Amino acid sequence: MTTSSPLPASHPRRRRRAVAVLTIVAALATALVVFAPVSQPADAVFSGSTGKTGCSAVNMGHTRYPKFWYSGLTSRVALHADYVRNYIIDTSDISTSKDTSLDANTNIVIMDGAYTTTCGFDWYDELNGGTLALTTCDTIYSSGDCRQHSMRISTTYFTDATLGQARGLMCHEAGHAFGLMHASSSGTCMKYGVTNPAQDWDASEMSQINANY
Amino acid sequence: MASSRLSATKIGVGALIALTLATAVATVVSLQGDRADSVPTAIASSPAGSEPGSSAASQYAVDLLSQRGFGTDSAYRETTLSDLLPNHLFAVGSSDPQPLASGIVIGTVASVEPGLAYTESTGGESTEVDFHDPDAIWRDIVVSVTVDSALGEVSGDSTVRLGLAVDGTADIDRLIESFASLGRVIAVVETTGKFSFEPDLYSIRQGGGLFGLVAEDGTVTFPYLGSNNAAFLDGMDTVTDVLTEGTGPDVISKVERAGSTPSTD
Repeated sequence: MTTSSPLPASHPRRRRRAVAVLTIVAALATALVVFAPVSQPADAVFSGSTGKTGCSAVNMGHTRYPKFWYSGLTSRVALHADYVRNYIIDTSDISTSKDTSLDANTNIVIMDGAYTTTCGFDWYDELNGGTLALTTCDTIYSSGDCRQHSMRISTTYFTDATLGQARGLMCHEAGHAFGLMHASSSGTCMKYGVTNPAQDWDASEMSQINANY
Repeated sequence: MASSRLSATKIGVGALIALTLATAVATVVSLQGDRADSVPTAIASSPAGSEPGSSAASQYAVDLLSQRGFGTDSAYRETTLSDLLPNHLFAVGSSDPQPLASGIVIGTVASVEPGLAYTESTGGESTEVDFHDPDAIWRDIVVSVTVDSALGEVSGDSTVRLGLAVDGTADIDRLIESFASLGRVIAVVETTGKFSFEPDLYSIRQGGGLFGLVAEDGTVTFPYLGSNNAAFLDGMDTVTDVLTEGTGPDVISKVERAGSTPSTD
């Protein structure tokens, strides 16, 4: 009859097993983190790097030095785009600039128009209301960060919008381009469905932006 | 002993690299899976005896509905479902009063079929493309609903065909199968003629957002509205509540341009 006794902790075989087990556990943990479903609850502040593109995608941008392209904007939309860049975005750790040409390295393209069907949404009209603006992520890096966002602003709404409505809407869309989600609080321009929202991001959103860029 | 430790370390590092590579490959495959490049699908019928909106298959459709407005800002005339009943009329300025929607349909999803897909220029002009075009930005599907109750224009119809836009990155086969498994649904419908491939299709209010689920006890939920669902229903929580409220006397509201007052949807 043979008996086995436990090996001492310092024994080389136990140490080799421990190294192998720890390595495999670490690898599995890595895999679990990568495969974890990306959830975007309605009240989450920040989307993070979702790897998503398309009409419903909220996905943080790749750089803290984003280059903007104004695609033939009406003067009013351009004016408020400048306002939001200078007085909201650039007060965070992000530093914006205008691109000299539109290409794959442009980070945020702002467009405006009398949209009616884009992405299948019902865009704004005077009787019904509707979609006022939309920010999409069009291309991504392999890391999952958004490479290029598009912001579309409805001129049907924007042309007659008040100063507060115009600034609030531009602030809202810029927030999406940096990964901010809709908020339930009235203290931020990220509140959804309000035509005269706050005109700035709140402290928690600003903290998320600064922590992630 | 030193060489044994080295071997163990090599094995461990090798395992880590292999798992990391496998993870990376799987992630790339997963990301590519978001692109709509799957094999064409024709029509999916509702599975017999399926539980309304509760199966694993239906979750994909529910997620698509709930995520639909993530990147938008929208403000609608209506602040509650009551505003969309056919007996609630609105007059902008001196115009004749009219309902905001054509009607409300409650019924069971009978089938789902492909419509058309669209790409778009930077100027905002959309171009119709084949439903399975991998470059589509969004797609329209056709949802046929066997009606059990209805209000407004759709009253008396036994079947209603609804057009619904979905994100172009959604998996085509999966979304069609998933919408077909939703079971009992509710939709606020409009006659807009916006679906060129079938102009008589009803569209769904709020860009497809007011396509909701009906639970076994008759409770209504609109996934698109997320945490605003309860405020939007404003106590009209069940199909019975909707039908009762929708058959009452007319209510007329005089209003200004949409967006001139805050909306809370």
